[in-house]
Amino acid sequence: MKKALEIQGISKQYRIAGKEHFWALDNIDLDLGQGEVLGLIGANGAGKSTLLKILSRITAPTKGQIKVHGKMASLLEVGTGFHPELSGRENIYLNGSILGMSRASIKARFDEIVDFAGVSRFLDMPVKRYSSGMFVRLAFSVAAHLDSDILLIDEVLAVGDADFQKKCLARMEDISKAQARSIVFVSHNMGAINSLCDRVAWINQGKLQATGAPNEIIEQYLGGLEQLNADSNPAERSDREGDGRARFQQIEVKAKDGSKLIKSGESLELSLAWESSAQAKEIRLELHLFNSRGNYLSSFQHQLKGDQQKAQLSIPELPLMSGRFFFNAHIYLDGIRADFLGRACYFEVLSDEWQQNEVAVQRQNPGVEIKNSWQS
Amino acid sequence: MTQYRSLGISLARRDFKVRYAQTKLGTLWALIQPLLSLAVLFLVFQRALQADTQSIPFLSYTLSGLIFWGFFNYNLSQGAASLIQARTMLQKIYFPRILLVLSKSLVASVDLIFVLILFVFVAFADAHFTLLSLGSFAAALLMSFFASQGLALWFAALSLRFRDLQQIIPFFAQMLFFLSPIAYSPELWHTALNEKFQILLYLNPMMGILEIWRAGIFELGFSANINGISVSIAFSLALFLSGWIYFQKVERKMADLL
Repeated sequence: MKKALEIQGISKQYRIAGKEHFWALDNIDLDLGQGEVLGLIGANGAGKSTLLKILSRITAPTKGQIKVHGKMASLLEVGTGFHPELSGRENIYLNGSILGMSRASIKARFDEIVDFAGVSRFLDMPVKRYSSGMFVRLAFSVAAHLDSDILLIDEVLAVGDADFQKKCLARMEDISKAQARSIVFVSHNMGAINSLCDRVAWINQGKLQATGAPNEIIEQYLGGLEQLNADSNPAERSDREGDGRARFQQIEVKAKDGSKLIKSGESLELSLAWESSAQAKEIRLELHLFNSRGNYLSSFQHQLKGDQQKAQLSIPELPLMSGRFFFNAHIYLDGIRADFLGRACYFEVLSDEWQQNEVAVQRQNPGVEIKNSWQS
Repeated sequence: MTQYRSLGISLARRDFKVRYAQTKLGTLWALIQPLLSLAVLFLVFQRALQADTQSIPFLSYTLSGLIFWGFFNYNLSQGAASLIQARTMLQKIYFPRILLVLSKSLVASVDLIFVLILFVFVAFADAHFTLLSLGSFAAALLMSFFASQGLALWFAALSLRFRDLQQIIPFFAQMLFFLSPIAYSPELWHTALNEKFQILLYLNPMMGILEIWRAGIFELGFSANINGISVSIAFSLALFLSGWIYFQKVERKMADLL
């Protein structure tokens, strides 16, 4: 594959207060093929945005070099360079030219941009009177019609309503597949990364941790979860409640195919195992589901015979938004609580569904997806 | 290149449209402002101080000066502040930063045209609209551009590192105004200072700019100030060239300094 972008040994050092230095990026080597969509993932402050800033020439690397084959445009924040006092029409020209288009090529695409944004009725109104949705649509639309070979995109999909997000994704897909243009895409939304990217690079504390197929890298990245779960290994935890006649030995969440990537609307399998030191007629299991904020979502109960030592819970169509969740687990022997583990098992849900709201609040405080339809 | 020209024009259009957005009088302000300054200068320099204006009627003389002072001052103050004003853009998008500063000249030129039209009406009887005056106009405009942009480039680039400069710039512009023979004759300096200091005064580019312009439009001649004028010209070019080079040198560090 022909290369669109070659990143060779890029390092970036920042000075923090006085003589202290900090390497935001440390010796990054990365290539981008033509027509390829590369996803960048990593925790906040890992260096993803710094890398995008260096690629887009906003800031210079301390070491290393970048070879760019073709014209590059960056979309680091939609709407930067928009002026509230100017009309939609004027802002299209202003923003287009800031992003590197000539007036002639903006003119040639003007109708396309307006159509895509769906703001034709408000073209001559100052954008300060636009709703935030209209504003974002117009801003993305200008950027989506840039005539560049390489497009750098930072978290733009976190905005706009569901329909428009779908349109944006379709547009990005079109840009990379039909027009053979390359995209570097930064996002915290693993669902978007998984469905959109050909390859994923994981940046961890300024270093390139791993690159490869999206589902592999995402699984590794979310492996941080395994750490979290390992720390709360049910067999060894001491912060438990109950009279101790039974102890959870294993609590594990998987998708049906055994992978750790659990998708919204698909199956979730939770397996439980315990040991009991006393005879009982009857065992009752109780699982409580919470989101990462600790908000209660639902409960699951199961009664079984006293000699059983394991059980499995299946949820065929998991109705959860994308985000992180955990279970609390209780076990009762003959009606008296024998063991309890708080935050017994964490898991992460990915979503391919773009209908769902991706507003920041919901992402950090994910809830339940309820099937619905509208009449009007 | 066409793309950068488009950007320069777009930035200037934005500034121009935004400036009088939602004002009742709109673009008329481009005329009202110089008229008001003219009125105040008339009271102070003509009525109160009876300043010499080289035998040219005060209003024509002063307005001729305001044409270039307005251009110079807009470039200097707006250009110097342009980077800090555009700080979110600088952190998010790459484009040649120098266009933020240079594009201010387009807006300043529009203002200049308004004042120039006003001048033609006011000074119709006193001015000589000849080929010579056209030449001196062009020369003065070019010099104003180089000098004010040179200063703006220096200030804009330096003020990212030294924010104190933002406080100094309005003050600096005000001092330049009083040091420039806008509402008085430069000959006042000739009698007030000895020759050594006179040459230093010409480091203020407005000295040379106004003398060249008035020599043409009022047919005043150069009153044996070729030395001084040369200093003004040389210094204007030096300011622009050094400003440009320094700006380019620090351009890639700008986002980190914000």
